[in-house]
Amino acid sequence: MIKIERLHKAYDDVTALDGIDLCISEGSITGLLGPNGAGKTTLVSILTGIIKKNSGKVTIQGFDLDNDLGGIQSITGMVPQTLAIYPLLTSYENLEYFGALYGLRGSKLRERIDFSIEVASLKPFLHRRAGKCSGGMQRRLNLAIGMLNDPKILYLDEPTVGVDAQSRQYMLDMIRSINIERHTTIIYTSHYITEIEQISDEIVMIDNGKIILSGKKEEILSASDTLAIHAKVPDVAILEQIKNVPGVTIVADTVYIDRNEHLSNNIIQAITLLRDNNINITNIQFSGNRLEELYLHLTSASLRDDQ
Amino acid sequence: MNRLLYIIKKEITELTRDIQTYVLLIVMPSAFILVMSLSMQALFQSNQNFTVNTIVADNSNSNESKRFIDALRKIENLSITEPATSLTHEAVSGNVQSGRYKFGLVINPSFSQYVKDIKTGPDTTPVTLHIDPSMQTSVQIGLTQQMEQQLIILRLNAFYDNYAAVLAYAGFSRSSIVPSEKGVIKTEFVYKDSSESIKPNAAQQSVPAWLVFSMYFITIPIALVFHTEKSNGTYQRIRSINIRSHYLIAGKMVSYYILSMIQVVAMLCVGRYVVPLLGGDTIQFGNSYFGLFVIASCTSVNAISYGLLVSSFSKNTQMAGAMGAVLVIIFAAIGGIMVPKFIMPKNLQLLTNISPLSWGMEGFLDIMLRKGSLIDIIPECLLLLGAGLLMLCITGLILRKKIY
Repeated sequence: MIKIERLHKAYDDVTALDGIDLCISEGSITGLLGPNGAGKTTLVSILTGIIKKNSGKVTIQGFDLDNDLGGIQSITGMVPQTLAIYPLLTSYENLEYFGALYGLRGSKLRERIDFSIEVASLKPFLHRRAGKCSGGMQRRLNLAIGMLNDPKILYLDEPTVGVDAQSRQYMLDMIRSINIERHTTIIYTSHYITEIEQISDEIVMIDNGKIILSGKKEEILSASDTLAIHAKVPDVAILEQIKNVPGVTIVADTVYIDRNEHLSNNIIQAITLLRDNNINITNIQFSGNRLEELYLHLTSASLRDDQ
Repeated sequence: MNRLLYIIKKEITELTRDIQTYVLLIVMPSAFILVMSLSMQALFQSNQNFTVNTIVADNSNSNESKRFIDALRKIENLSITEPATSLTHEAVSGNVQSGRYKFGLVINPSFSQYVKDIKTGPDTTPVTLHIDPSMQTSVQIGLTQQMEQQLIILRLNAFYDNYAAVLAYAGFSRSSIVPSEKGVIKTEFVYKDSSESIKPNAAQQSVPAWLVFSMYFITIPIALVFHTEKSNGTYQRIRSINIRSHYLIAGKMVSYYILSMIQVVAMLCVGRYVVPLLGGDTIQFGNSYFGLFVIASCTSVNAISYGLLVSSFSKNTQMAGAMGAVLVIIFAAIGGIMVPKFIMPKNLQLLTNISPLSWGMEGFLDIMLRKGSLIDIIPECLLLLGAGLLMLCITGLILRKKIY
């Protein structure tokens, strides 16, 4: 289990993580979601010991991050978003090198290399230089290296970026089977929300260094049932009036209404306001428990790159 | 095999497959040394077969001027035209300006009087020399002095002829008054090994300097690999495996040391075997091969440490490459690699002592040119290793603190 308490990290005057509290269950796949600059990479970097936290307490599988980083790193695997492989080495040489760095030797090293080759289907390209392999192949090698030490916890940062649909599905199946067969705890970061929705048991949404939502996927999605009303609202004053209706959020041209116990009243109020102001409703739909809508709803749809 | 050996193996495997690094570190510097050794030959050697074409206007048209011209014909490297008797200064100057001649010598009408009459004062101008300003200063000075020497000899001969009886009565012979043209000053080169006394050549003097300069090119491949590892995430991955930074530094140090020594051997072989094939002088390695190995090793360690420091300090490959190269050029300039130290201003000469390239070059010169031994290079080696160690410590601190 990973237990995080009041975790804080700042780079100079920019707060990256602002007092995070989180528990990740052993053997789960946790999808970590958040816009660019939300603090996801910082969180993973702290948990893997790449960077140091400012304050807070982290315990991973009983190891304290402050006192037993070596213990944590010995049970941890990491797959960075970038292709963290050596292009001039062959796939096998890459696996051998990183396996040796994990401290594997002799038959144990060969056994783990063979396992990674098998799982990631690397055999046909084993002695080809990594730099000359296809993008999907390189991604699978990147993932295979992260599994060399048979980690109890595996951090995957956008592992499917830039691969085709077939390779992506293969990798997702592979990750799921590792989780099931080896009971590996997986923390999965991706901008492909459908992937998170497909693969995760638990979901953590992070924004501006804070956790804005966390819990089991089913609970989150059932609680996030919304009614979406599509309408163009040209007047800012009317927009403010609609926003004041309880349970209403507006993202772009869509008015979201939480399907809570006051749904009927809220719908009536919102629709009345739109009709009274002669605003044309183009569509009304029940959102059907979509994670992407919830994500945009909670983080707002504005661009974050410039922040 | 422990982790360090695997890191070294990986670094060496990568290097053996990186053709561009070989081109950068071995092919390009070898070509550089080849070109520099051959082109510097004229500067360093006095008996080179270069020729300075000289147009002569004999406006004196006297026996004395003819004797002077005959004497000038004996000067090596000076090619004299058939003298014209009625050329003006403007005409001679025009010929030099056109680039057809490097020197334009005008023997003025007063020449004969100047030679014969010892009382003729310094206000007389018996000879005017027009010089192409593109000519190398050292060549100008050398040839002008030889011309003046011939003029003095001519004048002393005339003096002796005029006063032969008196001088003979006083016990002076011609040879005791008129200096011989050559061999008055005997030159001997001073080596650490006193049994040696050969004349140093262009390659011998320039190869150590350019060799040391080229060794610091290693900064560029180090920076490239270092920043690639940072940007592609392999460095973060290694950090997440609990590999300490000194393992990574040691791995790079060993592999690049091997590469650097290959570079040294290649460049020395170029100086020894390839330069002579193209008409240049060969180089001698000195009397201490072990000393040569030690100074090459210490310079390598310093160059690699410098490369690692620049790489860890800089933010990206471009910055590392630019910073590394520019600083090396600055250190080379103040270290006497590009310009000999002795012609620098005194204050700048003090600065040469802070340049690692100067330490390396002096060490190589001690062994290869001054025929010294291991003892002679101990100060340079200590400086190179000390500075290298300091740079490695700073690199380690940066890597521990920096977040990538």
